[in-house]
Amino acid sequence: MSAAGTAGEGGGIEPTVHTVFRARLWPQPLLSAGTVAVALLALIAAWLSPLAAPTDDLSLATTVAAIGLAATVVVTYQYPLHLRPRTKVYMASVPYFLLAAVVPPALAATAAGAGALAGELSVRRQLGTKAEGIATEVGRRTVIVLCGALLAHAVEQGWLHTVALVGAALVLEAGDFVTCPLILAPLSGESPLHIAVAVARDAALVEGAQYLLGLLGALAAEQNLWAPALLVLPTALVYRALKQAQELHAQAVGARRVAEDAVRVRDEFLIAASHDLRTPLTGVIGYTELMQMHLESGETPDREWLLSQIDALSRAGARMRTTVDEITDVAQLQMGQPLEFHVGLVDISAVVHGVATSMTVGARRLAGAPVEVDAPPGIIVRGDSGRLARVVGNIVGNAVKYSPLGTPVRATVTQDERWVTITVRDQGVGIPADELPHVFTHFYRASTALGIAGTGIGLAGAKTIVEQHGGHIAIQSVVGEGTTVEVLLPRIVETAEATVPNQPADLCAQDHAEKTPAPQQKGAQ
Amino acid sequence: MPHGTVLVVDDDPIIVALLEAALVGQGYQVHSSANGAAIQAARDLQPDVILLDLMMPEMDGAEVSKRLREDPQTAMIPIVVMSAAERLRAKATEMQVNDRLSKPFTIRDVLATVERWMRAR
Repeated sequence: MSAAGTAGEGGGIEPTVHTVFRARLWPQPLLSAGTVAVALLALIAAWLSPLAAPTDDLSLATTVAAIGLAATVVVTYQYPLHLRPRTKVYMASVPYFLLAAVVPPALAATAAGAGALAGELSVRRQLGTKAEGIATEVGRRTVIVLCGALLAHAVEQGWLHTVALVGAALVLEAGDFVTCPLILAPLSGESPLHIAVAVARDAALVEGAQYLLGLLGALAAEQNLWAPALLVLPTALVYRALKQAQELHAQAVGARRVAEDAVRVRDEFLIAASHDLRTPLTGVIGYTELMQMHLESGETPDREWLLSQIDALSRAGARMRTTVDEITDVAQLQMGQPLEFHVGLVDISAVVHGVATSMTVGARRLAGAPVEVDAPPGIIVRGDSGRLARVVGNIVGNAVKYSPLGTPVRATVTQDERWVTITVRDQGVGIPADELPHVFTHFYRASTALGIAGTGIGLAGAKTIVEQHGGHIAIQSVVGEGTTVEVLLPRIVETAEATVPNQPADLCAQDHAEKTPAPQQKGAQ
Repeated sequence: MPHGTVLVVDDDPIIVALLEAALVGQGYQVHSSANGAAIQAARDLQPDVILLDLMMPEMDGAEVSKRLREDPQTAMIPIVVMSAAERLRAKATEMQVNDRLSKPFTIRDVLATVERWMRAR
């Protein structure tokens, strides 16, 4: 009857389970679908041989089967080698199955099992499987061969025979529902129910069609229609091969798309980063040149003028340093290295005032957005002053950068018993709601930021820094109305300050995060 | 000392301050603006040369130059577009501008370019 149940290695089980399968080459649950199929092939062969041997049907059946087999070979070998191994295993058993038409049942079953074993071993050797894995496979196949031989002797002909075949397939296949969760649950840490559902879904989707084919084959054989019965087997193999090839192809396409996206994002980042460095670099080169021209002109050096140029030069240099620091942080985080923090007491009000002043100096010249600050003096947090200044600079800088002419940017600092909150509000271009969840992703830039210089690392870096301080960052935005960014930093607890002055901030982050409502609910705008 | 008015259109304070310092030192009158406001500024000031940045948040340099060219009051003012070399190559070829300065530029380049267009007026 059945070429059923060649899956089990196939699609439905969740990725982590797959990982366990493939990474450790743990023996698949005893009597898994693929091997059951081989055993049933042997059984059918054994059952067919005494019926077919004396009649002319044998030559017809063999011819049709050979054609089907040839078609299978042609179709499956169209695919690249890495898609073929599983198919090859089943292919290898087919010649033995044909052989089985002319030899006694027990011998046929043994031959089919041995053929499958040979195919499996050849594949395992190609894949570089360890001896342990091969030994397990040999043991498993031996059991299958013995089962096949036993069943071949035991089963009688007639409709009972058909029922027995279908039943055996179902029972053996059902074994997966029991053995998979039993073996895989402790191995993968997933819930047994979860695995059972995955197996059931796999069986229903992938193997349903094969069960149907197997059943058709059995019914055809029952009616002495040997040609269709034999044809069913290669058909099932082709179906399986196509299914597998399709899955692998989809995986490959998906993986390639992810890789291409990553490369494109990285390229855009490099261009943006070079732009961010190039502007202050223009300043460094330009101011140096201006001073050089001044000193070479032969006029008396103007001390005041020179000092103001040096001041501008150092501001340009500071901006380059900020960008380089950001890129370094991102690179470190991407490589999975933690950031090194220089923790101390930081006057956050002074930081906000300082950032706002530097922005306003720049912005006023262009009649851009002025920055209004409402920050009572002396609000102190514990943290890395350089990085916190970068966070504030980034958020205020964004607000100024994305605000139309003259609309105000407002920065406030407040504190309650637990949190120090920095709120920066603008009436700028805004960010579309569906893009908001991505703004903290490295290299991501909103569609409304098109044409505006930026690397897309600022907010992502800000989030990382704030969270490593045990804080939160939240953003709310309406396109055309403006954006509000809130940064919450844990307020210093007086006793903690006295006893552990240099405790890294993120050590106490967890319980703060649990006791406090999400910053979004704190409601800005 | 040369005379003439230059309108600097850039949203970056470093660039604006640098160009101001360089051009004022040469005796030019310098005004700065950014984004769409630059169009009105050009109409009011009637500068001799416009130095225009390509990347600005609200209205980019390509759009500003297009509008300046469409307006008969500003259509004849020379425009020098400034940006990174690779962006200039990609974009400035389709723009109706008179000259290009690739960032980072030198002050000598800027002064020579401005002077050339002053003389051309």
